[in-house]
Amino acid sequence: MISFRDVVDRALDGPITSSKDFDLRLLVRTVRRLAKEYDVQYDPETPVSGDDELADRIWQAGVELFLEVGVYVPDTERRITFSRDEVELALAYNRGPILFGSGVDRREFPLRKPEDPTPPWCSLGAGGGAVSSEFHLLSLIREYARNPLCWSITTPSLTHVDGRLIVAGSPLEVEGSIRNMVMGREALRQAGRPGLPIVNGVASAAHASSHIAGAGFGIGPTDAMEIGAHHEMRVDFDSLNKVAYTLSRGSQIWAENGVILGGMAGGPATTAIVTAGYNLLDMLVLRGSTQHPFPIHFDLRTTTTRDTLWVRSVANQAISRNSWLPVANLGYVGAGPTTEMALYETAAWVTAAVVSGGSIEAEGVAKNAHVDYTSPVEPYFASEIAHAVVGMRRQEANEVVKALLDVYEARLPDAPIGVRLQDCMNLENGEITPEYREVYSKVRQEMTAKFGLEFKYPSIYL
Amino acid sequence: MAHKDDILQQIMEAFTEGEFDEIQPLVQQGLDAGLDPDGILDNGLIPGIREVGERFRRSEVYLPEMMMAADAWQEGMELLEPLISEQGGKAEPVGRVVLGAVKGDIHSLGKNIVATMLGTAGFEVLDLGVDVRASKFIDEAEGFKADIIALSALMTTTMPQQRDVVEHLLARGSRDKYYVMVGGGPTTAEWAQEMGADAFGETAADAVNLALAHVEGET
Amino acid sequence: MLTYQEITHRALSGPIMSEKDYDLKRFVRTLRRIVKKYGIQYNPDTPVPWQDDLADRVWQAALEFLSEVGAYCVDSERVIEFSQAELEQALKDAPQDVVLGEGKDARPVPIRKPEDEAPPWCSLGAAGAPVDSDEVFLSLMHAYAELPYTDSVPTPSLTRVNGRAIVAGSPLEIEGCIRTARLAKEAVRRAGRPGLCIANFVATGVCAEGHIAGHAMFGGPGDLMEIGAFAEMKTNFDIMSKVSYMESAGCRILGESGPVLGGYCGGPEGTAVTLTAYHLFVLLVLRASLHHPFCVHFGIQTSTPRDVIWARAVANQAITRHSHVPCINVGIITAGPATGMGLYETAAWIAATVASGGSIEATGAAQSTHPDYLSPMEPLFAAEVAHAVAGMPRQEVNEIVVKLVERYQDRLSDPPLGKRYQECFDLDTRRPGREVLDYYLQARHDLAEMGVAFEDEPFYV
Repeated sequence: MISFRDVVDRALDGPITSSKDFDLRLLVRTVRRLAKEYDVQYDPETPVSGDDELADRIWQAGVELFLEVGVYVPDTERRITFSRDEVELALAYNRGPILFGSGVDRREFPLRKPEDPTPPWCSLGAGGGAVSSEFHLLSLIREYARNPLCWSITTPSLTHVDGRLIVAGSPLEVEGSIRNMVMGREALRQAGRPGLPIVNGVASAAHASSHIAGAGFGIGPTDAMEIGAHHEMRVDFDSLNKVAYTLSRGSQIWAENGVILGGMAGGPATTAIVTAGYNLLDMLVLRGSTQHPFPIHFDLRTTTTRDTLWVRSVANQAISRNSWLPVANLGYVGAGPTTEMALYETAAWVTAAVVSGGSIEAEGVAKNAHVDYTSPVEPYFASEIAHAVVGMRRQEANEVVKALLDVYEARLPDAPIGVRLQDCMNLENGEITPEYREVYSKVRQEMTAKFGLEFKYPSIYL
Repeated sequence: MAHKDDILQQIMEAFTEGEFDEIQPLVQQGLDAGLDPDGILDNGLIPGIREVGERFRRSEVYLPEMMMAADAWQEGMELLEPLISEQGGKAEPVGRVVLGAVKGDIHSLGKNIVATMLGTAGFEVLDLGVDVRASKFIDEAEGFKADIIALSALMTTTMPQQRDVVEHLLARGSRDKYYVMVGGGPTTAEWAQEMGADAFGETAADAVNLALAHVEGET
Repeated sequence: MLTYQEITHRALSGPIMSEKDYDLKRFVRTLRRIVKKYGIQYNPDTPVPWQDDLADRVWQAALEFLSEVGAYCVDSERVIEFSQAELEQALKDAPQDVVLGEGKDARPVPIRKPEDEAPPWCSLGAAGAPVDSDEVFLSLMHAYAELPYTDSVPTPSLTRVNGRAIVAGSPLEIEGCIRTARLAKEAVRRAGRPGLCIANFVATGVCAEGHIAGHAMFGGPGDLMEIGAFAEMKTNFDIMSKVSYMESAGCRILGESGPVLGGYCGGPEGTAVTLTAYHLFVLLVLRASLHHPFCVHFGIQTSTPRDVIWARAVANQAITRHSHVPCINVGIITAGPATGMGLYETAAWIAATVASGGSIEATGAAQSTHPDYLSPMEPLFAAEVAHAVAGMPRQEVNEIVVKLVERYQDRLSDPPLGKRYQECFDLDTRRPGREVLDYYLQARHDLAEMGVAFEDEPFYV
């Protein structure tokens, strides 16, 4: 695989292109043409597709997209481009086992395929969602880690330092990022899992300086930094700088792509192709150990709409059938804690992802738009679902997901946000309220009764 | 040469079919065929772009279509505006908006959608881009003679910069000159009230409706 | 002392003001009025004044000045205000008994006064001047660390990574910073001084992420991170973020201030007051353990014109008579290595500074703008002069400095560039060639004739 140094050189020397031309002349036109050429069409009846040929065509289209448009660097207004040989070499690269964590929590990230009987990796977190105090953060992470199915965590983000709202770019952001990290590590120690890997420890960080500052306080070679592209197919100096540091540090990278359905990626078909193309961007430019996508609806801001489910499903299949860089899917649901809807949405996207060959990170709730509207129950439930659907046929999963959509789809524009963490869980001991236990129990039972899902392990909440 | 009415129809179809490169040539064709510039605008460009806007609202088309339609509109107007001015008319905007993502925030998508939709709704929009400091919003609003300052923030840690703009306006004694709207992922109506904004738009469509209501004197 | 959180709070919520208004309406006008009020006047015949009363007036002027103008945060466009009481308290609470370095290389930084016999702290190195390659960087740093008087070593800044010019803000800067830190540590290890304080730990860094990356990878508790204000009395989020990280990392900060004579400070008088006021700015806003004064001329952009020497001398006297926080002054000379002029310039600003109570960091050469135009000779000579003049009366030092300035002042606008390190020293052995050795010996002889009694025999002979 070509070196990161070469990538940086290309960021500084590549062909000059204006931002607008990259978006409208290159990216949009190319992906549309490829969608036609490769006959990629969205089918609302199969939010979980079972079409291997479609998956492979999406992969091919994604590769062609990557080769034709490259990656845009706004700081230099140039494109990083790659040759076909370089892409093929990268895909042939023998990466070796992808390992995270230390001690008893050291594990290998599985390279799964559609309908794979191997359990997926379950990373738990709030999707970077915001909490109002460090003690909320500490409590949440401790609860994530209590889940034996949790194999890594991401931290929520802090909004305040000592009562003061964090201002991005200011020293409060640095301090917030350091606290994020320090409290995250302490929470794992308190949970008795100090070796559990943290794969996004500085969710409070907006800038590379804070990212690096925070990482210096707790990210080691067995952890990862989450580093993202910008929509679409763009990587700026800030992200590249984080990569440069992380590589020197010896930590790994979860390469994040928040592909926006309805943005420059267009509709579902073209969004799927872009998501597949990102696998190569994540491999070559962000030097990821995982691809960490969340195809999100631009208006509803969730990953649980029918079309985003389809995108996730086909993209996971495309990638897992053709690439060594595995997918750690991130999800965002519309409804919030203590609502049944949040759990139905969770079940839908997790099922779609896992049967399509992916692993998961769960998850932002209440559209990630409300401070403290999160709890450990939804991620816990996500991990239960993930294990329950392992080995399920895609055709069966499709029926499950469609039935779930029937329950919640119409309510997405006005999803109930639920209650705050402190209103449904005791922050000291992690106990959830009886009301939430009842909701959770009901939905869990329904999963078995209505959809035939067998939960492999007893629940810590029942 | 195509019949005059056909040309107007073709302009409409070019918008709806996504053949945006054809719009400027069609406008030229219309002029060559003797169509009145005002007529091309009122019966060709305006209905065409409105239709794209409606389809966008219904999620039948997406941002790329909106932006390409807006570009095509602009290209068409480059031909029509001089002629309309000559005839004594002037396509006046319904209002002027200065818009941008606040300091520290580099997210542009939502802002771009709002800018495009405001443009298609008849506003003249000055898009300052991303990472815009407070004083720049105000300096540019003054120069542009804006009615509205629209502030986008996609992170909880950039939201305080929205408040900073209001504080800068107060410091300058200019608060009452502008209608301040805020929006973006973590922003809420409560936040808008707390920080002293005039309005909060949860979606791009909300933003446009609020802006229209303001210029029409309903706020 | 006000907490850093409080400083941050003031940066985010202090009075709103445009940068232009801060500069012209607040800073410049107040400075002029205060200089006049305290009767501060430059005398070109005394680049090293010896009147304690002058020094004390400059100190009082500085306190009053900073309490009136405050500091300015460019990103928030707000003023960080301080009361005089807060400034005085900051001084009382400022770090005491600073020790730099680790293990056998740990040593306390002396607190000196004008005409103090105690030898000054000598930070010997390139003072952030540029070098083009890892090879030159490593050899130079090794050479600096071997010098007999080296108490700490500032790093040069790398301009290239594997031949490619570093672009500020890009991942090349990150790599450059990490590499600077790594090579610096290796260099002092090779000199047998692994715990030696590295005094400007990531000179290559421009942005906060570069600085932080370098320190996070290889910074040690005995090192110093140089963080500066910019002209004048200004900070920004990037600088403040570096400070925030360094505080958490437990890294001591060398608070740099480089007022520009001929800029907003005006002439030498205003520059002296501003430089003195910066002493308190660096304590509060940069959380410094040490002050790193660096005075330059607007046109010539080095530290050795007569009026700059005067401004620095007066400021050092003002500060050291009233503060326990040491000043490790940094200087840039105009001429390059392997020129006689460079050594005379070095001797002039060093003698003036040390006699005035300061310690030193020496030295950038060839205006610090020509990559590789550096050598260990000028820093060595600086330290020899510094040790020799410690304890001498200022009046006597003034005579020496006048003679030195007269030797080079006519050539300041067209100085000899000299030679690159690898052209006048052996990269492998780090020994000087004949030419540069001759210049050095001649300069020693000339200064001895002027009355400077060197402590030791010439090092390289």
